[in-house]
Amino acid sequence: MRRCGHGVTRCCPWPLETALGGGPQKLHSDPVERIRSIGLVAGFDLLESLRSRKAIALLLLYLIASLGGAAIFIHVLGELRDRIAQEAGVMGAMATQALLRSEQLVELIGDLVGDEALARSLLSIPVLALFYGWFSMTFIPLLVILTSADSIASEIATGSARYALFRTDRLSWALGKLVGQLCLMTLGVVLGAAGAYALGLILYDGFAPGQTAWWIARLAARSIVYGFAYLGVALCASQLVRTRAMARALGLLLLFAVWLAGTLLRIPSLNEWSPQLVSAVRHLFPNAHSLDLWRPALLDRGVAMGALILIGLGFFALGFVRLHRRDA
Amino acid sequence: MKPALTIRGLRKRYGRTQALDGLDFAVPEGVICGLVGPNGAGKTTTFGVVGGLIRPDAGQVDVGGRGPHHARRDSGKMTMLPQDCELPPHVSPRQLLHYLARLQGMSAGQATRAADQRLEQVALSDRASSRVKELSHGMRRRVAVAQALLGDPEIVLLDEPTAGLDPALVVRMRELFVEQRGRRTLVISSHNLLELEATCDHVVFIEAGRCVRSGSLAEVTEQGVLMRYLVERTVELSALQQAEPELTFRWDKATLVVQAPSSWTASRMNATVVPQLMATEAGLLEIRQGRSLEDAYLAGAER
Repeated sequence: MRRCGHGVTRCCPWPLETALGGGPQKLHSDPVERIRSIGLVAGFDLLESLRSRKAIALLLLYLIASLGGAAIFIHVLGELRDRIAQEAGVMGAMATQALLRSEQLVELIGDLVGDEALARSLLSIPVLALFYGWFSMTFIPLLVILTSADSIASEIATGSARYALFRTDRLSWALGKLVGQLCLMTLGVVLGAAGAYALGLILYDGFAPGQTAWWIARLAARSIVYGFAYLGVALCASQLVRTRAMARALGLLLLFAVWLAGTLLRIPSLNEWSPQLVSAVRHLFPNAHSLDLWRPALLDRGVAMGALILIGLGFFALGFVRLHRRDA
Repeated sequence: MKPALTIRGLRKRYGRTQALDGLDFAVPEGVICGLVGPNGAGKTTTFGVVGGLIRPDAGQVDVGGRGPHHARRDSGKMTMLPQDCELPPHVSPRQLLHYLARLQGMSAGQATRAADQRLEQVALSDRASSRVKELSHGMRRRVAVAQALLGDPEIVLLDEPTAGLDPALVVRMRELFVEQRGRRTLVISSHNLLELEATCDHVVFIEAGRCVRSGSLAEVTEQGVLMRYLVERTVELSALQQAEPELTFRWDKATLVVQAPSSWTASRMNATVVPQLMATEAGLLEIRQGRSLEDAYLAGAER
C-alpha cells in the first residue's frame, strides 16, 4: 500500500499508466457475430414470451377476436347475399355471383379499406381474405403495443437484462428483442389468419379454399409489415422508461398520438395550408401508408411497405438513443 | 504480478448522491479480492461500471489490459453476479445458462455441457428443468452464481454471492470460489467479513465512493507483525513487557494482542511470547496470526 497525492490512501501498487493502456478502444464490429447475438437474443426472447401468461392470453384474445369478427362478417355476408338473392330472384351459386357484383359489397369493402374507388379494384379478392386483412391491420397495432411495449423496460426494471448486457452489446440485445417481438407478432397474425380461414371453411358457403388461402397469406404478410411500424413505436416506449407500467402507459399514449397525428394531418384545410409539408410529415406516421397496402400496383405497395419498415426502425432507433446512453 | 482490474479516478453521481468519488484501486491477477464497505459505499455501482452497465461521469477502468469492458468484444472474458437482479422467470435454469453461454460465444454443445456442469456445481442438477419462477430464493441465487462462473472467464465480479443461502450452501459456494484461485480473478463484494476472510487473499475497503485502504489480506490484517493469544486468565502485562521491550502488549478481553516491529516474524514472536505465557497461569488456548478482517475494517472506519 502507498499513499497517493489525491488526499486518500491509494491502493495501486502498479504503474497506472501501464495498466490503463493507450488510447480509446476500437469497437468490435464483426457483422456475423452481431447477427449471431441478435438471433440468440431473439430466440430466447420468443421462448420467454411464449412461456408467459401475458403473451399467451393476448394471443388467444386476438385469435378469439379474429374468429368472432370473421363469424360476424360471414353472417353479414350471408344476410346481404340473401337480400340480394331475394331482390334479384336468384338462388345458390347465382346468388353468390350477384353478391360479388353488387354495389352493397363494394360499399362494404369500401368501408373496410377506407376508399370506395380502391374497393372496386379489390373485388377479385375473396371477401373473407379482405375482411381478414382489414381486421389484422386494424387490431395489430393494439396487439403489438400490449404484448411488446414493456419487453425491454421490464427487463431493465427487474435487472434481468444485466445478465445479457455484459455478454453482448446493447444494440445487438435491443435488436434481438425487436426480432423476438416481431416473431411473436407474426405468430399472432398467423394464428388469426388460420382461425379466420378455418371458420370460413366451415361457415361460408361461397368459400374458395385455394384462392382465399393465397390472399390471406398475402394480406397477413402486409399486416406484419404494417405491425412492424407499430412494433417500432412499442419498443421506442420500452426503451425510454424504466418500469413496466410506465412502458405500457407510454406505449398506449404513443399509439394514440401516432394515430391522432396521422388522422389530423389528413384534414383538407391543413393540406391546403402547405400541401408538401403536410404530406411529408403525414408520411412519417404508419396510418398514412395503410391505404397503399391495399393497392393492386406492386410499386405502390412496395413503397408503402418500405416506408413502414423505415418508420418502425426510426421509432426503434429513437428509443435506442436513450437506451444506449442510460444505465442498465 | 500484473493487475487484472485497474480503476482510476472513477466518479458517478446519482442526483445529489455522489456514489463514486474518485475511486482508485487495482486487483492483482489470479487473486480472490474482497470488496468491503458499508451500505451505500459504492460497491454495487463499482461493479456496474466495471461491467459496462453503468456509465461513469469520469474516470477510467481497465480490465485485463484491454481497457474498459466491451460486452461483445470481451464476452466471456469477464462475468458477473449482479446484486438484486431477477432472473427471467419463465425459462428453466438449463435454458437460461445455455442461452448465456451461447452469448459468450460457445457452440450449442459446449453451452449444454457448461450449463450442466455449473448446475451440478451449485447443486441444482435436479431442478435444471424447472422454471426459474418455481425455484426458491436460494436456488435462484445459485443459478445466478452458476451463470457467473460459465465458461472460462478471466475475471468474475460477485456482488453478495451468498446472500440468502443456508449455511451448508455458503460453505459449498466458498469452496467453489476458493477452487477458482489462481485460475481466474474473483472480486467479491460482501458484508460478511468472516466469509471474506476465509475466502480472499486481497481486500479493498471502500467508503463514500473512495478506496480508503487495500492490499493483501496479510498486509491489511497485519499478519506479519501482530499475534493474538487467547488465554483462560488475564495476567499482568508489566512482566511480559519488561522481558521483551521491543514488543507491545495489550489485552483485548481475554486475548493478548502482541504487536512487533516489521523486522519480526510470527515464529520469532511465538518463540518469545509463548514460553512466557506458559510460565504464568494464563492458560494458553489459541494462537491467531494478525487481526481479524473485521477488526482491520473497524479500525479503518474509526480512523
